[in-house]
Amino acid sequence: MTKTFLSALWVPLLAFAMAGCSPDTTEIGDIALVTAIGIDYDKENHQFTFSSYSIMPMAGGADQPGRLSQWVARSNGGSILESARNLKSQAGKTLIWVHNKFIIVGEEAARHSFSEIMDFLTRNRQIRMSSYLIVSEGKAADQLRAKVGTGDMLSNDLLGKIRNENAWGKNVAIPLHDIADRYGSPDRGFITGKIKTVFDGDMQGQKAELKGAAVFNRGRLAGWIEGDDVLVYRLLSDKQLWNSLEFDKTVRYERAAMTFLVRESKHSVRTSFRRGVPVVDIYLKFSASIGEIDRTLPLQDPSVIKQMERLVSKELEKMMDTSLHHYQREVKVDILGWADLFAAHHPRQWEKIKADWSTVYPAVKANVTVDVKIEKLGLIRVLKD
Amino acid sequence: MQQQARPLHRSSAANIQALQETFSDNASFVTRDLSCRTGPDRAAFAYLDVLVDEKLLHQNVIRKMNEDLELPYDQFDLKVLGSLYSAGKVEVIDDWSAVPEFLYQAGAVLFVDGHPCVYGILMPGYDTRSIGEPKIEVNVRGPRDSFIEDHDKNLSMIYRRLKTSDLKSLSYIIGTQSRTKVTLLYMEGKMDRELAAKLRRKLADFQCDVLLANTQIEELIQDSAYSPFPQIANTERPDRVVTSLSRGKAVILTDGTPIALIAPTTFFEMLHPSEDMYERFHFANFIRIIRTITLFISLFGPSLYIALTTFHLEMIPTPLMMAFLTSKAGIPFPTFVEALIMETAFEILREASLRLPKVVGQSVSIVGALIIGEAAVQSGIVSRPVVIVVAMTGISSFTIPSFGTALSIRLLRFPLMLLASYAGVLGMALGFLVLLLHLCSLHSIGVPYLNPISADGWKKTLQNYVRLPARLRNGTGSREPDYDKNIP
Repeated sequence: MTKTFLSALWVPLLAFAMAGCSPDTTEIGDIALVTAIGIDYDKENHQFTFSSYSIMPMAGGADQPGRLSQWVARSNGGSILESARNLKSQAGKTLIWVHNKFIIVGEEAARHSFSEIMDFLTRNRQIRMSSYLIVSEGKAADQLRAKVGTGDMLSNDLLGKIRNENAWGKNVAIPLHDIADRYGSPDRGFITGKIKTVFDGDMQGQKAELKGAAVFNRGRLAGWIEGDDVLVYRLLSDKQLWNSLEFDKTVRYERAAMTFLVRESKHSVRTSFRRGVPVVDIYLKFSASIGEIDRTLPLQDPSVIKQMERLVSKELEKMMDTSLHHYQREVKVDILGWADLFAAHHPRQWEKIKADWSTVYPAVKANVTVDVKIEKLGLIRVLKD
Repeated sequence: MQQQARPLHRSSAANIQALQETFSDNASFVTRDLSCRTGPDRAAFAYLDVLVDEKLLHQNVIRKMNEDLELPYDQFDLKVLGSLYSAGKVEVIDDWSAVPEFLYQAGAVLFVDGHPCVYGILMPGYDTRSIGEPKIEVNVRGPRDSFIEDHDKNLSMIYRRLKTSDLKSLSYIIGTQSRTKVTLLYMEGKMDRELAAKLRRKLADFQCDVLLANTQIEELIQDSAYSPFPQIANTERPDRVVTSLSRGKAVILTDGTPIALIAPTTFFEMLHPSEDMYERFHFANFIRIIRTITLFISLFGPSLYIALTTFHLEMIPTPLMMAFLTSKAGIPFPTFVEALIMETAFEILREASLRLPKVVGQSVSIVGALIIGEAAVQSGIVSRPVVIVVAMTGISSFTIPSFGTALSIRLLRFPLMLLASYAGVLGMALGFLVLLLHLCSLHSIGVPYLNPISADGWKKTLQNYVRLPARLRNGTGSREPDYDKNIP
């Protein structure tokens, strides 16, 4: 028995002999935690610029705990990896990428070298696939230097903005793995978040704003969408984007302006071919609650509520139609991935239209039916003058 | 005291002379002639005055004898022996070598002229500690008595709880010089016959000069002497002994030790104290879950921290990572050294508080821990998370009910820390694998140490981890040897 035990002790000892075990140690006192990176591309010089936003521990004085300091660095190179490696010449600490949450891609880079960027990001082991890829209007490096309104660290601030998007709906953050999934498809496009710096008088400088979305088609940046178009994308997209989303919608009822808080509760997108024409039937169910009314309305009357429900449904249908029209006729990118739906549900007919999808797509007939149910009137039932 | 086995003289004077030679230079040895009436050297008592209750001997035996001797009829020796027999159980010894041993058992021997033997009567007059409360295995609802150093009183506590003739007790005298009384207890019909025979054989063959504590017996009967895990359970609680007996285990009581040994024992029994039996099953299970968690914390706490912060930075959530970063800034030592310093300091404090007098011990340990911990952090020698991890680990190790198991877990923590600092979670996994293999191969007097971990039937397996309510528990009236059924 003792013999077996002693011989079993050799197993870990042999493991120690394996090369490459101990040099992997990284003491957390010696690291810089990269929490956001920016990738820019200069088309004329064919140069990549790699910027990193890191957090480093700094020793506190006597009797004081240490604190965190922020460090933004930037370096150039002929490829992304080269520029990222050139960063090491400036780094006094071991750079740790595994906690990186944001990859900000510059506009020019997204237009001209997105495939290289995706290759780098998906090939690299230290890049997390759950990090968010955001396209910057202008240079990505500027976003990392921008002032943060809350005074917090940039990555925390961005994370907070992404959390808040469920109460607003007009921006969208897509993790890298979703982009990697959709990036390869020749037929469908995709969107991802957009960041831009806006001038802020109070703060004497630029501040970063997460708003709108960048549209990609055939692996490169094709344009931007803003406002309700982003909201409609979220409502018509995967469940994770609309499940906890609550947005506001203002409608006019008689002479009153009413704002509703609306939440999507049921979602159905069906594709079919009618007389050879591809049709998408969208049926959405919403629950709404009254958030604000500017004058007294007879809310105790069920028929009034019914009328309101119809009104809000109409408004939402209108909003969707407008946005879908914008996607199909103006942006001309299948960002909702209808191509995948047709290919999955109607493979035979899909084969016929597959080649001309870019011309067929703007002509796809989309029928949107919205059903709104007003569930809550708010705490006060009747607003008195 | 080296005595050859030889018969006694017929003459009491010669016998006393011989005994006096044996006990030469022994101030406690007393011989006492019975009476002036009997004439010199006709009958005499011999005893050790520190062991024997002299007052009792005088009042109950010698006075009676003197009164009887005044009676006119009957022969001299019959009168003397008659009064002796009325005083208590008399043992007739006709072998020289047994006489000193009898004296050391707090006996008085009577030599009567013309009898080639001695008559012994036990009259213990020494003091023993009275039955106290358990010191180590404290509980809230269970009985409050615990074993003491006196073997017979311990045995009486067990007999009072188990009133069945199935309870067998076999007595052994171990130690050529200490002549310590050792009793093996088991219940016939419940204990596996082979195991009982094995234990009997081992105890009968046990050779030593002085048997002071039952750890010597434990060393003898355990299967694997090199294992860090205790394979024999010990307890100071009679109720736990009785539960063990009724589950088909053997119990060994040793004179002079307030701790009983229980064998065979399995790993999971070490994790379940008797307290569990006295609580309602919800709470007992909750505590069991907590105890399982703390077992793992106390084994893996520091090594997991080392592995995560030096190898697997991606496994720490970012906000926590930032907290670690701030506290680690400016610390001169690698995490492993930090953890080692704190663990060692903790062990030193723990040992110091054990050795110190009880009154100062507790306060010194608390103050020491606070000052050392706080000062070390303030001066930037160790980081705060390490202090938290080490403190958590230390407190967790206190929840393991079996002191021996807690010791082994404390000890195993250090090699695991080394493995973690060398190969991260991979090293820990390897260490755990070796530990698991070792536990699987371990036996407690022939019974697998991890015994009911995959017992037949879900009830048996489940009972290993949770305490089932009474209705679902197996009946206790089973006649099968069920030493593997370790939960009531």
